[in-house]
Amino acid sequence: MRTSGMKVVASYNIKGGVGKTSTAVNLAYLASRDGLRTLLWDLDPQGSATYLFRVKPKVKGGGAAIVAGKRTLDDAIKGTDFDHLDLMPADFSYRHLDFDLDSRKRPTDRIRRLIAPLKGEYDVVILDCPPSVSLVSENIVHACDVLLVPLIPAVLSVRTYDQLVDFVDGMPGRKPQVMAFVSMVDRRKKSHREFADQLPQERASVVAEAIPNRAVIEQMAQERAPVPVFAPTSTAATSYEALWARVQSCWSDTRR
Amino acid sequence: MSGLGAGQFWVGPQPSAVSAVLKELASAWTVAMGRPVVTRRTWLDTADFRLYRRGMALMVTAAEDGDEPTLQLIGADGSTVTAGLDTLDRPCLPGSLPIWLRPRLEPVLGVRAILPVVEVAGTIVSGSLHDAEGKTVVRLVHERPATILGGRGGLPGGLWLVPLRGYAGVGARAARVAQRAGLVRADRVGYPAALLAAGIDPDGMRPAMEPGLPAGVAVARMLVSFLDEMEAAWGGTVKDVDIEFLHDFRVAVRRSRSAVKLLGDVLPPAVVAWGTPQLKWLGDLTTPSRDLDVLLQHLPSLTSGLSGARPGDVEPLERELIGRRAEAQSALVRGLLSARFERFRARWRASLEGLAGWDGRPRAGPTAAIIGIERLAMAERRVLRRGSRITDESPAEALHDLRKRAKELRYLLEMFTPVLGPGDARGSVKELKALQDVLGTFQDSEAQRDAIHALATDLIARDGVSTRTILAMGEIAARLQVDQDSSRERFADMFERFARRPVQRRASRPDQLRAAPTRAAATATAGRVR
Ligand SMILES: Nc1ncnc2c1ncn2[C@@H]1O[C@H](COP(=O)(O)OP(=O)(O)OP(=O)(O)O)[C@@H](O)[C@H]1O
Ligand SMILES: [Mg+2]
Repeated sequence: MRTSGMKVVASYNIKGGVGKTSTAVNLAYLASRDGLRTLLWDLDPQGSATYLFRVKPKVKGGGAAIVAGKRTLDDAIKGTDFDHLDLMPADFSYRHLDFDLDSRKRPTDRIRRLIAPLKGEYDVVILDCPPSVSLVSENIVHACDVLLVPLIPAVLSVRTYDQLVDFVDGMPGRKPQVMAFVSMVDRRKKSHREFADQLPQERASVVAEAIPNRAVIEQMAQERAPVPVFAPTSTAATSYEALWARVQSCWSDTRR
Repeated sequence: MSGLGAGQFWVGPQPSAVSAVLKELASAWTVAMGRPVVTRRTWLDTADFRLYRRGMALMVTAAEDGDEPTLQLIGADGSTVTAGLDTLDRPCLPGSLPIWLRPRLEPVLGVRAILPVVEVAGTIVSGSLHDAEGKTVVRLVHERPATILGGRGGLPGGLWLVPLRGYAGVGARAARVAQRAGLVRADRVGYPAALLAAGIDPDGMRPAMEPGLPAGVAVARMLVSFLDEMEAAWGGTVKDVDIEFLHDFRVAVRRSRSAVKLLGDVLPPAVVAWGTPQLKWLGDLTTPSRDLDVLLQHLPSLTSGLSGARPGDVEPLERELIGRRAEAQSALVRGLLSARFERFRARWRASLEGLAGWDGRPRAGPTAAIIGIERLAMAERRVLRRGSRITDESPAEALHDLRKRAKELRYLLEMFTPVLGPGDARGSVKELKALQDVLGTFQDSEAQRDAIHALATDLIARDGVSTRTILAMGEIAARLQVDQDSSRERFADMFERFARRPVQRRASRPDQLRAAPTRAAATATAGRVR
């Protein structure tokens, strides 16, 4: 299955520990399993996604070679153990951006321009974003087609989300589609249940495909693999499948 | 097994060499090998190997462990697209390819169908090299020796080393291990290797004519090779695999007819007297189907952007053409399956093969070189003479006739390339081709316009046809008229260019007739006319 043109999805939230990396890794895997040529770009210097794919975060030559123009984005990409799924490791991406972001005034289209040459090579690019409000995040908003936001069941997270939606609305030029889903839902808790059931009704951009709180998701760190690989029939795996189908509907809808 | 296009295939003198390499690799990395799986691989291509010629390969892999067969397209650059299961019909016309294959294959295939070409079965063990993190860095595929299905021979076994992206360094180290263990890198892998193993040579050329042969022997051998071509195209024509089979069949018939007509005097008169009407019968038998094929192919461009018509208006026309084509096809198939055809084939082959042998002893009469040069000169003079007589007032028939003469010249040129100097044929074939193109458009657009008129008459007589359809057909006929007129306008210019560059400079230097043919001349086979 092929999409028309390369699609960029950013897993994004300025808050830490809400499930961005878990989402990015599992969706990237599911995309590649569909036969889509997929690149997962680990933008977080902590390198969690890089670790999960067993890739060493250190890149030969590191930032220095990039500054000297000796290495390009293309050179740093690593094949993962899975067909059609490649990874841009953390170290590389971080230094690259770090340098560029310092040396320019408001280079908010930096990531977009770095991705553009990969158009013929990938059908999907998934960005795993660091939790911050830096220039990097503005870059991300400019670079992606879908801004996918995990929301944990807490009132505060809705407020930050509304601010994000306002920010994107007020942004000049090309805008991504903002899509949020409820992350780490513990259905045993009444407050979680209500949050997960009501928010999609109150906010059009929040989809009903929630990701439950499951130990098997935490296990990714031990298994060092996406959930559908080691627990293909788990509810966590099927929830990520449903979320991926929903994300894809963004571009199949607009084509119709 | 995806991405093998980017890997290296290492083969060894004995099958045990691969095991030695695996053992060696295991001392530096973790080697994980899966289960041996008996796998059947089928390479698909068109009858004239269009994928092979573009360096592409289309392969179906079916594992005996019951997994669904997968279909994989490997591009000339080694890029690989694997798509879930194999859902292709056999044969498969470009129009019914899965969506994901179409953009890459349609331009290559044209009107040709995809057919299974080689099939091999053998055991494959897939595995990987892991680094200290447990990360796959190189994929391994151990192919044990495989057998060609329905044929003799087999593919040698070996080991694929496919470094993952970003791990070229590890890949190079693994390759050195293989090399030290005595394996060598195979230069021909995948589809080309399978073709070679199956004894299929897509690059094989018709044997070049030896100038020193007695003329009768040379002409008989040529006719045998044309008959071979007819027979090769026969099955696909009968089964209607794609329209090129009939086209190839007809080209072989036409070549045969030209050879008999222009060179038949070097054959026994009885053979010529018997063969001539048979070949004419085959020409006539195949004409209606081919004409309809051409018209149907041309139809989309004729109907696109009609000014007065709606898309639906031409549908009755297309339906009618498809119906007629089906009728013509069944008449054609009846002919090709008839006892008459079988008699022709067997007798024609027997009499030609009887004439094609030569013990090398000198014979009375001219050699192939002498006959070739003489008949080429005659054919060329005919084209020049008749062409120069054509004026703006000449009837269409005069151009049609010139087209036939130009075709004859072209066939002779192709047949006798080896007896011409290397530079002689090639330069002028371009001008000849351009001339043939103009004459072809001129005649084809007239024939198609006549066909449209006849169809319109029939459709009206049958009633139920809408006026809009008839009007759309009128517009199509007008377009064909424009095509014909413009090719007539270009004719004088094309002919002038052709006349300026004689096909054969040697003809005026008979002293060189007996010059030994050079290798270059023998291989300078010009593009073959269709
Ligand atoms: N649905 C879930 N159920 C249970 N545990 C989860 C779930 N999603 C994420 N986790 C766990 O929560 C922790 C944080 O998740 P993750 O790394 O995906 O979030 P993040 O937003 O990327 O964090 P950071 O902001 O630090 O990058 C991890 O230990 C992860 O295994
Ligand atoms: Mg993270």
